[in-house]
Amino acid sequence: MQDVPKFVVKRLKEAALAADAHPDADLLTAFAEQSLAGRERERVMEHLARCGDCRDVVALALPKSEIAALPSVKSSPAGWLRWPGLGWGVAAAGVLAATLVGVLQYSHENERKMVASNVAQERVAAPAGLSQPASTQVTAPQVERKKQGADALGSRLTARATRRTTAARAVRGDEAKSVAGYGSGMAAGVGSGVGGGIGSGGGSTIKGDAFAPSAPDAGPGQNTAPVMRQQVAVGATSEVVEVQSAAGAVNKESTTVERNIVAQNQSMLPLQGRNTGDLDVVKAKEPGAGQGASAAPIPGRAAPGPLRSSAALMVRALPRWTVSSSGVLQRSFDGGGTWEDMNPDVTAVGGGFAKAGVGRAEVGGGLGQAEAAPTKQSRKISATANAALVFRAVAASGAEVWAGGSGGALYHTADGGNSWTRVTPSSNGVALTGDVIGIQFFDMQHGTVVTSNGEMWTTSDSGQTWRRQR
Amino acid sequence: MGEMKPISAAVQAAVSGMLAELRVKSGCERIGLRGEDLGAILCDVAAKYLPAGCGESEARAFLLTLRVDELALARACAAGNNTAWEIFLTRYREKLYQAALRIAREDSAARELADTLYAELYGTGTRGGERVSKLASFTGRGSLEGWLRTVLAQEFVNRYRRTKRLVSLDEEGEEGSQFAAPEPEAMVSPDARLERATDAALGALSSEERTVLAAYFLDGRTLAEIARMLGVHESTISRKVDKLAKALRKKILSNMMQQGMGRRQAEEALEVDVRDLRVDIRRSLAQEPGAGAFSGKRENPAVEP
Repeated sequence: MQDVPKFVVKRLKEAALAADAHPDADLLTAFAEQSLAGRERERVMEHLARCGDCRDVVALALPKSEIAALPSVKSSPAGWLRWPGLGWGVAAAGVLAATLVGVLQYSHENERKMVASNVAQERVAAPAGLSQPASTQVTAPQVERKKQGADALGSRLTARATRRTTAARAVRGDEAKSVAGYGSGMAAGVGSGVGGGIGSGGGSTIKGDAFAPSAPDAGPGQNTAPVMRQQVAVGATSEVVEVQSAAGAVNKESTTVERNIVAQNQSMLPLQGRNTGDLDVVKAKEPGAGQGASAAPIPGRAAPGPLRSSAALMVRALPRWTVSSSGVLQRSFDGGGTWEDMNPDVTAVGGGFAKAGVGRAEVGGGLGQAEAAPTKQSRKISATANAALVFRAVAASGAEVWAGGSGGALYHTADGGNSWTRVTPSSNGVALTGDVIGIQFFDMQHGTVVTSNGEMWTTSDSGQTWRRQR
Repeated sequence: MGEMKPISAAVQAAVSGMLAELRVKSGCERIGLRGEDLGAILCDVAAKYLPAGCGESEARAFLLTLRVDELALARACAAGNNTAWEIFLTRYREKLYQAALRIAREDSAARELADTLYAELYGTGTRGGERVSKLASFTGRGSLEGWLRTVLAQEFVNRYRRTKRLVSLDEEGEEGSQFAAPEPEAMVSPDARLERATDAALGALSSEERTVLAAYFLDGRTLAEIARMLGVHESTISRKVDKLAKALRKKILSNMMQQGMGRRQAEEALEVDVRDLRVDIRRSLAQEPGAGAFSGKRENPAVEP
């Protein structure tokens, strides 16, 4: 490193003698966090150039270095994941795996549906109170199947739980739910569609009685019952479909129709749809239990999720947002007790890609899977890969969240942070370039973004177009 | 906030226009802070930092950059709200001790540092019979966590300087007689042209460039530290220091030559001075100004019992 003449050092030092009143702790903090706009930053900088004490304070008050955390990542077995190429490889592998599992599962599902409907038919045919031996007989092969199905199911749920697309999520989430109901329903000898059919036929109690004695683990079975009832409650049409399927006409169309209807219903009840969506992520990320919950091949583990939704989720539905002092975007589902790091950059997809709904869902699933398995590591990876992106501001209203930071970074999510879109405000060919240091949205459409170079950008159409003010 | 500036109409308009949203954003009601309390706080904060004649849109932009939720929390704590204190302690207690340990680098000193701050946060001094918490001076410009670290660092620098000054005074008492240079001024007589050239070269630099130079050459900070202080990449700082050092030398030399010195003479002037300088740095270190750099910062004089 080039040295400067000592005389220069001397003069630098002497300039310090003229240092005036120190900036207060708030200003120094804001300076270090890059939250000061042009003129103010310049004033503090001028002071720092001359005041060794304040330089010391700023240096000492730096947040714990992320660089220090790096070695542990390096030594971790998944260290190679940090290679960008391999990272994408893993993502791609995730996509493949998800698709494969999906395809396999689908064929299984059809198979099982046939079995289930057969069973159902038998039952429907049988008098209301099923005789004990009959049901044991019927469930015997299913219990065997249960394990095998549940394994696939478990991994499938893992992929699903972390998938990050709203539209796809509403559908998938529900699909997962119905699969969950289905899987555990299998254990009990009642498929979700079939069960619904029986239930709507006025036999929901019969159903419960029927499988309680036969299923070895009654727990999950009981759990599914309300889930199914929930589904039935979603729409009258889906009931009809289910009745049909109970009659033995289980085919691709009917399930698709059912899903579509459910999806529609969910989009009509956006909050409810989001609830389940958010919960999936919460579950997947819950330390310790998270991995178990999402990966555990017990259908029962998946079933309680939607159950909790009714009561506990009202609180959990809308996360709180903050930006940590080191510029990490965080959300909390428990009112600020624990915070989860968010990295919009990983989930954000550019405009063109975003429109390809299916393709994107797969990518989301792939990433989700990669993240679900070694949760901690991958989070670290994403954090380090993106060390340059420092968040400074976040504004949330319901599930609509805007977050911004260094280098004009501005991200938007409409689903509580599961999928993000990068937004680059520009007007008359001039784009926002400074650091985003303040964001406010008055409602979904109208918002303002303030930058470090003293610009104020406003939008009145959810960020489609922007107006720049100085 | 010692000097309370008058609150301009523009600030008032901006605050009242945005209060509804900011209230929601801050969640102040949950911690016992009413909307109008928050409004008053925001007015004070805006008046403290905004220039006198600022317009309403500037004030609005300013309010947007505040961390209102943490501001509300800090002020609710200062007002003695129990819920707020619980939240504060859950969120920051552990972090505060960790930060103190990083700053003091030694367990007992760290504990003492953190405990002192705790006492101040809880409120040691009183004004009119009421506890005054240091949290009442938090303005939400940066994060509360960052602010706590900064306050810790200020306290640490204060103490460190104080002890260092005591030590150096003692040293002077012992060795002073044998060591004292007869007249430092006379001994260090840098060529006036060198001084002019150096000051001109330094004066032409931006404040950021001077900060980088000072942090690196005076404070001995690492490139990584400086990079994080300024929020840029380490390689940027590395290149910058290298470039600055080269450019400075060149500029000073050419300036001295413009003043009529030969190249060799100029180079010698630049080098010769190095040996004398050590004495001089010692001297200027000993004369480091200011009793406790941030003692003037103890915002409310009335707070001191």
